[in-house]
Amino acid sequence: MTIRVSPSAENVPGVSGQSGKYLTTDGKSLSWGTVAGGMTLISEQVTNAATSLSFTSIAGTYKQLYLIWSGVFTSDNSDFALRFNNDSGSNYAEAIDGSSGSTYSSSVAANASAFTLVSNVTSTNLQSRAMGFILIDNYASTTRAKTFTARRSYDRANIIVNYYVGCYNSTSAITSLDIVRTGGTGTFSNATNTSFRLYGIS
Amino acid sequence: MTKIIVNCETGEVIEREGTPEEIAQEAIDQAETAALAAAEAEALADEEAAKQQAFNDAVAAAVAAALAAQTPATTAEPTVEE
Repeated sequence: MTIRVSPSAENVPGVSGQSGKYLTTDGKSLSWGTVAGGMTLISEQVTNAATSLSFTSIAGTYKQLYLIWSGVFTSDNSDFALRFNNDSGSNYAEAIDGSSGSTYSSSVAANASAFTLVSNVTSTNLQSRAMGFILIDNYASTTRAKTFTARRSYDRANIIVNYYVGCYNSTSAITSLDIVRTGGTGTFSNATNTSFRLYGIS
Repeated sequence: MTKIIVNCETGEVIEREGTPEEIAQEAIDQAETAALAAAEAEALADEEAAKQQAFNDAVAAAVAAALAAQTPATTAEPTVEE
């Protein structure tokens, strides 16, 4: 069966200027709608010998935040961790599982950071360098704690791969993501062709 | 300490030195990280020691069992009567 809709037909709106939109109805008449949702790249950063990186002034207009990275390595045995709103309190309740080398473990914790993002990764192998993502739900809420889920990996003599589910116990809207140095005096960098990318999900 | 700060509204990226408060916070973070690493290392060492002890115990038990199996049963010497 073929249905033909002509712009000149009665009650069908014209198509001029409606590229990419969809035709919908309110039960009485037809109209063009704009496709909602999707991911918006808020910022992309390539680090080079950084001691910290902060994404600030994040608009509260999305439903979720998604930060993804790869190719991150350190200049020495320094540690770098991710925080929200630069909050160093033990407000990150987490359940963690994963492996360190051949040893599997699971645990729960109340930490002073969401997690260590990279630690003592001086290897030049891309597969050994830190990579992962974090998805933060309802980040702009001013009445609810913020649930997040993340995966990370890096190889500091033995490969560490973890899965996190957590709850940031704060009713403040998250307006910044902060990667801070929590150990050592070194720096972190992105390998060639890698970056940090922060998306807003509508 | 150099801070790289991205303003997600404007796209502006600035670099500045850490404030005294940020430098003090970093010192606290580093002390906590060092303490955590020491505790993890100690726990790992304890775990490894326990594994080694369990292995040693198992080997000792196996050796004892093997020796016991190889030892012939003791029989009473015949009594010689004149």
